[in-house]
Amino acid sequence: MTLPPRWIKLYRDFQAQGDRLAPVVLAMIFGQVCVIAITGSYATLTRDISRAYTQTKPASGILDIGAVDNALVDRVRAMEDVKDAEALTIIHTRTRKPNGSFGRGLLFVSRSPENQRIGRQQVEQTFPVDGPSVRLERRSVAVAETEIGGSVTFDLPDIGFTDLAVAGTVFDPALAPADQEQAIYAYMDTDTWFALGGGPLEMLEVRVAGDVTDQQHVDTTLTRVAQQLRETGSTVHLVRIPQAETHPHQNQMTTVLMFFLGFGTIAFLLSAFLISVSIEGLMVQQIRQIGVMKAIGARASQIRMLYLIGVALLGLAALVVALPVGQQIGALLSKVVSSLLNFDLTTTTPPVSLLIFWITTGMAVPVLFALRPLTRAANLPVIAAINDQGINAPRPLPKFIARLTGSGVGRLAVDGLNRNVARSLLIIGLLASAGAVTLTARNVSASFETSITIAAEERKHDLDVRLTVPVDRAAALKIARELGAELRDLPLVLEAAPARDDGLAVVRTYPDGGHGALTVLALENFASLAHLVPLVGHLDAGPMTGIILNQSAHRLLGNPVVGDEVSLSLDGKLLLLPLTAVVREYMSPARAYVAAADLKDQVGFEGTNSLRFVAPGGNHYLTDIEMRLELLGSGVKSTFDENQMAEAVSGHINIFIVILTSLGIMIAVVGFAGLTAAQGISVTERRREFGVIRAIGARRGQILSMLLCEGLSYWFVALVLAVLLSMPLSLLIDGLIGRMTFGMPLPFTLDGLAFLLWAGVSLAGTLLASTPPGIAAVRASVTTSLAHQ
Amino acid sequence: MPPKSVWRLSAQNLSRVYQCGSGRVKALDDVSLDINKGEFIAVTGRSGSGKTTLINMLAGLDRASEGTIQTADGTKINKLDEEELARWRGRNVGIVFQFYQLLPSLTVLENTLLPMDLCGVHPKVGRRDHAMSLLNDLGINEHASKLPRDLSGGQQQRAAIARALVNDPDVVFADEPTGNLDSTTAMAVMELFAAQAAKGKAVIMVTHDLDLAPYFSRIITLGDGRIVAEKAKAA
Ligand SMILES: Nc1ncnc2c1ncn2[C@@H]1O[C@H](COP(=O)(O)OP(=O)(O)O)[C@@H](O)[C@H]1O
Ligand SMILES: [Mg+2]
Repeated sequence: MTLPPRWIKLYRDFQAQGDRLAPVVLAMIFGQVCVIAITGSYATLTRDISRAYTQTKPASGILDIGAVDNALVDRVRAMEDVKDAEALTIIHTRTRKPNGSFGRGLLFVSRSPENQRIGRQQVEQTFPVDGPSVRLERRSVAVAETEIGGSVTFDLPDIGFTDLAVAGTVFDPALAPADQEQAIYAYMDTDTWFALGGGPLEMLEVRVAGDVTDQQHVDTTLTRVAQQLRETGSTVHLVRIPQAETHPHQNQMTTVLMFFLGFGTIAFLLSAFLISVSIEGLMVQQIRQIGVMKAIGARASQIRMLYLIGVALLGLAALVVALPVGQQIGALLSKVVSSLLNFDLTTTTPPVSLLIFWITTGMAVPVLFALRPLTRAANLPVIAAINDQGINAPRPLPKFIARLTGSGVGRLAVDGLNRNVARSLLIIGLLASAGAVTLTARNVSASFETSITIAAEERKHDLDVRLTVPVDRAAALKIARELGAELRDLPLVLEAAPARDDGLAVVRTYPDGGHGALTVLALENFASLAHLVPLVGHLDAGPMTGIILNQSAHRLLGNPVVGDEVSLSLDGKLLLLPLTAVVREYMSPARAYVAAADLKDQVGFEGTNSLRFVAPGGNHYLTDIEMRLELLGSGVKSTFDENQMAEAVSGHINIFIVILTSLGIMIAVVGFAGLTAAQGISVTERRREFGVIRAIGARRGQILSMLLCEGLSYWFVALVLAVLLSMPLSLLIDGLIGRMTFGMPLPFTLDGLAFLLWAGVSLAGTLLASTPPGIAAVRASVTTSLAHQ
Repeated sequence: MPPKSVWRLSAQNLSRVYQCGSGRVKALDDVSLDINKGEFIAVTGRSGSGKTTLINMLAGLDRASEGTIQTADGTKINKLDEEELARWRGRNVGIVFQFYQLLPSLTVLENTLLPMDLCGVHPKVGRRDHAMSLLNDLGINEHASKLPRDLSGGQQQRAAIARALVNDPDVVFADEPTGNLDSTTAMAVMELFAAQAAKGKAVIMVTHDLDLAPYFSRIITLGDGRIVAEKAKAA
């Protein structure tokens, strides 16, 4: 069986146009690869992050009760809507690394960590050890700078620094990755804990019955449990309820993937738009033949269908490459992200529905974009089509441009631009959007860097020593004086929650205490805040009044206005103060500043538990501090130095910077592929015309320089547009990411170096895309150029 | 249904006005004409007299500004929409152009098969044989698998005629089909057309060449878009 002649024609014509179609198909492949890789890994990652998190049977909430015994656990288990309950203690403490430096540690103590009913971990490796031991979360081993069978040193409350053997690793996908948080997660059973002299377990993990993903249901159940416990005489200090059944970094990941999806779609649409323009170029060559086919009986619908199927087949051809490549890249992306976020993938095979989606969009989108030029060509009246000469005159230039450009090579270049406005716009659009995205990526990265710099400058202290028990301020000052250390501040730092009518303190936070917490800092005076930028209200000198919130806290508390009473719950006690001002604090969790006197009056807490030193060059007097604190009946709970502060921030931020930059590169690649294709088509289409120009005396060099002129005009216009576009885009993304991470836009920053780099790279790219087709066009002899159809 | 009447194409009061730039050109002015089975009609006249315009109207390639074109079974072809018109052309009309207009990427055989493929008039299995026998009749069967660019002008015109005849149309239009051919080749092509007319097809040909006059059963002369003379050969 042979192919019907019209299909033979389509096949041969496509074959003959191979050099023009190849870059188009390449651009299609690239667009499809972007979409396939991103949607594929989106599907894989969102499915597996939930699966990994859900599989641990995470606590719906954790109640901080102070002392939990078996009877209490049993009682809670029997309560309405409670599926299960289990006692544990989460100790936030510091650790000492082998090199003597301090780190952050989270010790989870429960009856039997290997057999958790709630918050299950998977045991991964086991090593026989003697003495008190813990298992480490698999990603904490590197943070602790130790190994399995080695040891970690935890500062245990009322016990002191204790060497604990590392008896193995577990995988706990419910926690934010240890390396991103710069924390050591360790798990200890109660036998070990009691043998070391530890007190009773303090917290109660509760998993609700019914729909665990229903936040409202989870919230009401847990507050009801808390109230019932309170009625029976227990003190509930704090109720921690994380986002229902959601991994702590799931939103971060979704946002990142959404960015990917957005940019992937842009890349795909750019490539589809390129198809539209290329098909238009192709149809120009076919108009006369279409006229002939119609004369001998072809219907316009037949012609349209013929070429539409042709385009769909091009899409299919691109898919043949794009499917496996896109899937591989998607799988790679999934692996990178899942390992960044510490969860395992079940499979990277896409669901069938996605496969169908890829194949249909891969074919349908090019068809949709080719529809207009195809329909136009197919509907042209027969006689007009048969008489088509192939040269369509450029539309007349506006007079002033014509006068400006004269009649030389410059004029020809402008005519070239003017001839096919759609194609010129496409080329400029491709370059401009690639530039805009790249510049935006760099600008946003620069904004991050600016905000980190501002945050570092505004911090004003280099070392924060947190105490286990508050000490008298005068005593703390005395220690500093004796050591010759400069104390910048000595606040009392407390964990707080928005106050509720029922008096419970409920916070939306994860077991690690981060991610959504609200901290109150009680200060002697506001002088140490004077350098902060107020967003709302004033920071008046003089006696300290009311409460000052940073923007994160302001948002967390429902954006109160100045003068509004802000009520906070501190360990079950109410703090009520009018809002004085909102200050800007980049890279900072939610914080509220109050006068120490007010805190003492209303809640009764006093003293300081956070010594903030100006200590350039390290923390050499830590041991001295420690000894003196012990005399005061306190101790060091944790230390946080410059490096740790920087690392904790960059752990969350670098991922954005890397992703934004790679998105910029991705769009730039599509941009240049498109540019090459569009320039190739535009030049081939004009070969005949070049022949005419040369026949009347133009030299090859003149035509080549005309083409280069044209390329340079594209480059220049695109560069200007890219800069103009990148500004609102940078502002937008600065706003989105900033608001998501710490409640206000990132400080808008332009990256001048990136601009220079892009200007250079895009110039090189434009010349590279324009020169080869230009040389090919002028190398042909005049007669072959003239004969060119 | 009336019994299928004898084939005939009649044009009444055809006019065609071109809008060009600011002016209007009346390329065809109130032309009426009947074309019957077996006629071999020549349309002559000076350049610009409206010959091409007339046969484009009659072949359904272009639309008249005024007037009607009707077949014996009552089809008013100027009332058909574009799709119906294309189908009508494909099934009822053969067209031969001055510059052959073969599709360059298809072989002679494939070009000949194309109208059948487009209109589906012939059962699929017989198409190849049908086209080959036609090419055989026209004496170019040995060039069937060549591309048009490898053929001489006369061979290309024969291929174009094969393409025009392959759907067995009632009428064949040819716009200066011999204009590009040397006189010997032109004579041979004329013989082919005459043979078609003898078989009962109507053939309408635009020509300048008065040497060809003996072939025609009727000669229509146009001047400024009007029929200025009409001469029928005595039967
Ligand atoms: N598409 C067109 N637009 C404007 N005028 C046209 C067009 N086609 C033909 N004409 C004009 O109509 C007249 C008749 O043209 P045509 O039918 O081609 O003549 P012929 O075939 O006898 O040489 C001429 O004056 C010609 O200039
Ligand atoms: Mg003519």
